[in-house]
Amino acid sequence: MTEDRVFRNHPSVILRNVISACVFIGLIIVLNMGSSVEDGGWVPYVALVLVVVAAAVAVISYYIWRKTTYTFTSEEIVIRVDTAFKKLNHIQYSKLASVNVRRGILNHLFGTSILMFNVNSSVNAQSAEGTLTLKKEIADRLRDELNSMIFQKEITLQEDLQVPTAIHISNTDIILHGFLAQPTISSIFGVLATIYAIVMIFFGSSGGLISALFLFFIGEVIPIVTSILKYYNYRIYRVDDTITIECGMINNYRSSFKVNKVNSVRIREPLLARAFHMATLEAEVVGLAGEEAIPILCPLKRRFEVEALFRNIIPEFCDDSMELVHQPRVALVPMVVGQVILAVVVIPILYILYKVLFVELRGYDGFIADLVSFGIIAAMVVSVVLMVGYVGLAQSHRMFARGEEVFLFVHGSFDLNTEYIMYDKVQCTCVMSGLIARRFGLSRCTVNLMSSTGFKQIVSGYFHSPDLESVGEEVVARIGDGRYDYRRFY
Amino acid sequence: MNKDFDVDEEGLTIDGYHVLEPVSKKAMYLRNGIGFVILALVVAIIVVYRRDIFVEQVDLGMSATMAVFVLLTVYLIVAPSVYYRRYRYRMDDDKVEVRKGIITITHDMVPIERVHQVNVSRGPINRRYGLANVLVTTAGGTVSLSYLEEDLAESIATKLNEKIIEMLKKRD
Repeated sequence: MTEDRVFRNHPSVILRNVISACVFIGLIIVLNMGSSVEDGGWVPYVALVLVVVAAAVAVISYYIWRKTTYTFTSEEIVIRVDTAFKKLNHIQYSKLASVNVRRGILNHLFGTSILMFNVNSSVNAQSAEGTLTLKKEIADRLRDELNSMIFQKEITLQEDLQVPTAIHISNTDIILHGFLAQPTISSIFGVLATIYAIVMIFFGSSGGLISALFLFFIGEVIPIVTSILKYYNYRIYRVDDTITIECGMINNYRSSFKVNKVNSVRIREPLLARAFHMATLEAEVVGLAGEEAIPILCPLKRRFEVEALFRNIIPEFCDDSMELVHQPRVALVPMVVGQVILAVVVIPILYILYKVLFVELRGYDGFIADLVSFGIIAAMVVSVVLMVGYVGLAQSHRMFARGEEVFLFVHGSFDLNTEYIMYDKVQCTCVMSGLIARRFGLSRCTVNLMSSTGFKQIVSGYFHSPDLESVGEEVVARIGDGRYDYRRFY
Repeated sequence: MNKDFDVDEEGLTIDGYHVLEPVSKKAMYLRNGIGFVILALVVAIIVVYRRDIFVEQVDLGMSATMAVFVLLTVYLIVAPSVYYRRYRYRMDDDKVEVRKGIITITHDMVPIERVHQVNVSRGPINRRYGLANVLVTTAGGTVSLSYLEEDLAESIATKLNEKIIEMLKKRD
């Protein structure tokens, strides 16, 4: 950029703030009205409150909008907020990790795009360092210019759109992803909420039904719908060292990041998806923020297709020379002991619950008391089954492997994660061995990485202590002998 | 305990680790003593209000409470001695390492290249015994060298800071 350019947010941000505030305040009022909702006399008062809120927010937003400028110099972006709360934020182009685009409903209506500036930092990882709403054409042009500086990309957005996707993901795949790619614990929660809702319908309890439906929506419906809306029309491509992901049904997302900002790549297989030999591919990227913090490189597909995409889109993390080591059989001992200790805690709690409820339900008719008793006993049996299942699945799947540049942990039990981690991205390691594991010379290793959400810990299964110690030693050795070159990651 | 914890004239173990000074054990006992007083207060409150808390299962509830109380008390008494005997740390040009633990033994390793920040902190208990903690922060987490003598903590922090500055200068 040869000369300084000054931008302001598109005025539609004022409307966005007004709508958000009105919806928020309106919801709070309605939720607090309780039974008086049925009598319609409240409408004029709520309308009046909303008008006052809208006017106040509009005035404040207009004032902030007038006083906020974004100056693009040859070196940096300067965000200046000249209100009562003064703010001056300098974002150097050299510190920018990505410039992402998001388009919501209002953006579609006004023909605008939101540019999100993300820096290489774990401190500001929860949200973008700065956001700027501009007319779509201006935003696209600006993003192209910034991307050419960050990623040394020569092609423009228009040319970007011509690049074919690295894998064909149909919208049916995305719907399947919404249902099957949820973590098993969320699915179990959703199923329990569904059962609870059915039982409440059966007993005709309206209060219980509302709570059950609320839990069902929170636990099952919202994650599925959100996932489908977000990943609809999915495509991914790589140009030189830059990976770009585009998706979205209502809100459109376009995230770009450099391969050298990827810390680890994960093949994730939730239990239900594994039954169909399906998996997803995800990356831990530093410098992305908000909803795009952990980009999905491949929504749910057959495992072999995911592996093929992995080799194609990010071969830096593939190492065919790695020899997979299964968790030793003796690891069953500390795992079983751990589960027995858990059972010793869980089963008495359930038993006490059973006794307490048994006393409470003495006055109720036999069927309800029987049903609750059955539920508690079923919970005890299911707990034991889950504990046995956890040990069995963990033992049969957990693995560890070391390669030249990357190492691999397969961890988890019901949901499996195959994590490919670069030695050069490891911040620190912790090898830990409990009372029982020590007797067998076994340990677990926690690897700490910088991540998009601050920092991330990845924990291995049980392996021989010297093998796990070698991870930290290799990290230090690579720094010492020069195989680690910090310039590769800037 | 095996001979891994024996120290030579320079105060180093066979594998070059430093061990803590005996005064650190006093700080640990004092800290656990305070922990015991808080625990005893909680148990006393439970005993006073046992009928309200456990309703019709008073005997069962009180047995469980007393069992937990005894277990935690034993732990608070035994822990400092075990922690002190197992605590080892070492620092060279490349890395900082800490081995410690009571039930679970951990071995933390931080490459100095990854260190972002070094803090020395002194809480009221540590101050009473002239001790301090060194908190080594990386972009991916922190590791603490605890119960060090104040001068030693300061010198470790200074050395680490010097190494980081030297490394950054080389990069410039």
